[in-house]
Amino acid sequence: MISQELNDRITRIGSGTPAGTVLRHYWQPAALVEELHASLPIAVNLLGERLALSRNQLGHWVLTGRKTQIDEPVVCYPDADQIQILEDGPTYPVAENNGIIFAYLGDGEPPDFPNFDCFRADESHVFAFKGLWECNWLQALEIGIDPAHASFLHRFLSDEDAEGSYGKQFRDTVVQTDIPITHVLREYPCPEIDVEETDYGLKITALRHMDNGRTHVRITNQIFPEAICIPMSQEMTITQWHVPIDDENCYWYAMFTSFGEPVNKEVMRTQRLKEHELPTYAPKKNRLNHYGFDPSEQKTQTYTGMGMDINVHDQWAVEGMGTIQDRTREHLGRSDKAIIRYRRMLRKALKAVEMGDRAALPMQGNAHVKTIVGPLSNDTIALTDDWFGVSYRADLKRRAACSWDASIL
Amino acid sequence: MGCFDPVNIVPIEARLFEDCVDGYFPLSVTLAHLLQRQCFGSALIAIRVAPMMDIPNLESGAPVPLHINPLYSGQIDWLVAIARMQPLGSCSIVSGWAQWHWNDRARDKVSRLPHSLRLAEPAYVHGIGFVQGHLRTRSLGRVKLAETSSCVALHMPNIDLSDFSTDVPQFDTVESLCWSLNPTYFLEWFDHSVVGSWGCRYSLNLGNGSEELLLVEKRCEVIWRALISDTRAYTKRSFDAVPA
Ligand SMILES: [Fe+2]
Repeated sequence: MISQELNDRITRIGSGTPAGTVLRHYWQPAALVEELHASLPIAVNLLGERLALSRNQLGHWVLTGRKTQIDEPVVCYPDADQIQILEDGPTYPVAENNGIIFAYLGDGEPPDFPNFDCFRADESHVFAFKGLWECNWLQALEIGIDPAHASFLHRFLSDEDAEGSYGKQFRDTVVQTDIPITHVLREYPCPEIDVEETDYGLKITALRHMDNGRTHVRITNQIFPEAICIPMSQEMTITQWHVPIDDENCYWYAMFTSFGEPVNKEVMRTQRLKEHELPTYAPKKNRLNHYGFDPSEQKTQTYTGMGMDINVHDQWAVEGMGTIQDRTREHLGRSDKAIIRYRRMLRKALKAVEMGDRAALPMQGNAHVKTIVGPLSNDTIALTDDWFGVSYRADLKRRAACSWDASIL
Repeated sequence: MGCFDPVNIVPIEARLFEDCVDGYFPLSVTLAHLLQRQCFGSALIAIRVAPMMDIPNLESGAPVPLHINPLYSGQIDWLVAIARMQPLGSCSIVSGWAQWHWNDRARDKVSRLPHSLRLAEPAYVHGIGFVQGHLRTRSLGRVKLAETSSCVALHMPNIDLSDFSTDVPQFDTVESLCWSLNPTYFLEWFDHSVVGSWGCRYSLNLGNGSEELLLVEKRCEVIWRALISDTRAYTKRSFDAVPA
């Protein structure tokens, strides 16, 4: 139950705000490369700024300020001929990386990209997509660093066959077992959570102690300031940013990265286009249609009654808190460990930017950003005594068998 | 180098720890829970950038209101304190240093934090915890003499160990970090030790020799690493740095 002043401080991202300044010190996903097949320029609405992405005469991407049209909605994609570039507006550095156009809206030089798997992998092994959530970026991020919620919000009352699970979250079996993840999440709802501060943010370990001295180990990560890296299946991880459009809307941008076969982008895009409208990437299930809520499904199949797509569950949970979660009425508990550690990092960063101490931010200053690899992100079942070794070795094994250079040693 | 008599150095049972404490209770209650959970008699703790509140006329056992009045809230920028278990299961904060601000700027003129202080949300806490024993100390209450070696020791002037076993284990003073409980050193040690190089900035600056001093051996690095296991396992540098 923090004060309104502290809540504003950690959530609001307009130009000149402390949290906005922290985010502006990092590369931000600005558009999907697939959006650029439309005629240029295209609108980019990022961190409260109205921008346009086009190409200059040399063929380089250029991100500049554009004129806001009268009565323009927050989420809007005007046609190219409607976009007017501001003569005296800002121009920002842009970098293309595995399906996403990243932009740097901060002062000074942009930082290096860390050597994360999603950036190192061959283009054939990464699929990028995005989706709109109508809420503040911080609550969107915080659900992603709460390992306990999956046992409730994403509870499936029975397990599906792993066949046909391609491209979907929580549908695979655990490495070297035939136990579906949905079974583990449902039967062991109270994980022991361990959080460690790292060079890149947080490493979050959720241990679900099972029968016969075995433990399910799920390792996820917070990548500072607003991304997560989580396992999706035995083969794939998801690196996902929660990027503010303004204070009350955000896009998730995800890079699905495969350590095995090349990603079947067509299947994954078709799955997701079924659920989203273009050009806004707004989900078809939303507040207006009650997120597709079906009481009979809730009785027999899922915890939420909102279908099998877990993104919808998360979307409902975070949008349901209001556009900016009222943290003056919030009571975190000790199981919210990762959220607590994350807010501590964020508050330290807010202080650092106010003191003009950019070097104190994670992955800035003297940090050897390019040497940061990984992060480890997997689901395993281990004998409880050796859970760390089992998870670690499973990661090394997957890396060793990978067709692109995923080595970390 | 100040005056420093190795005879007065007593290795004690202690452990580096990190934990997540509840908010909402008075801080002394929150810290008593921490000490009980970790089985410590006392602890030197550090808290960084944590929201706090102090609600007037709220009984210590009463629940916090559903909604916080902004005037009652603020932020601890940093706090270093010794928390000590009291006989009845409560905890007292013996001494501490902190920097903070209240939303109600008028309150910032008061240079003490109130006894009724509460954390406004759960907080990450780390520090050095001391196992309870029979050795009476001024700053840490009763602590336990280390049975074998320990990387934590107290320098205690005029100590009388005649009641204890005669073979007090060795403590290597040359390679140790040392504080007369200076909060800045403590904070820096915790916040930068994992990232930066170890200890070389700290020298044995022992003041006038009449105070109790906390000594932590540099070999603690190994313990610290064990505690945080592979925090930096995914940076190439830290792989090089992990001791064989
Ligand atoms: Fe979720």
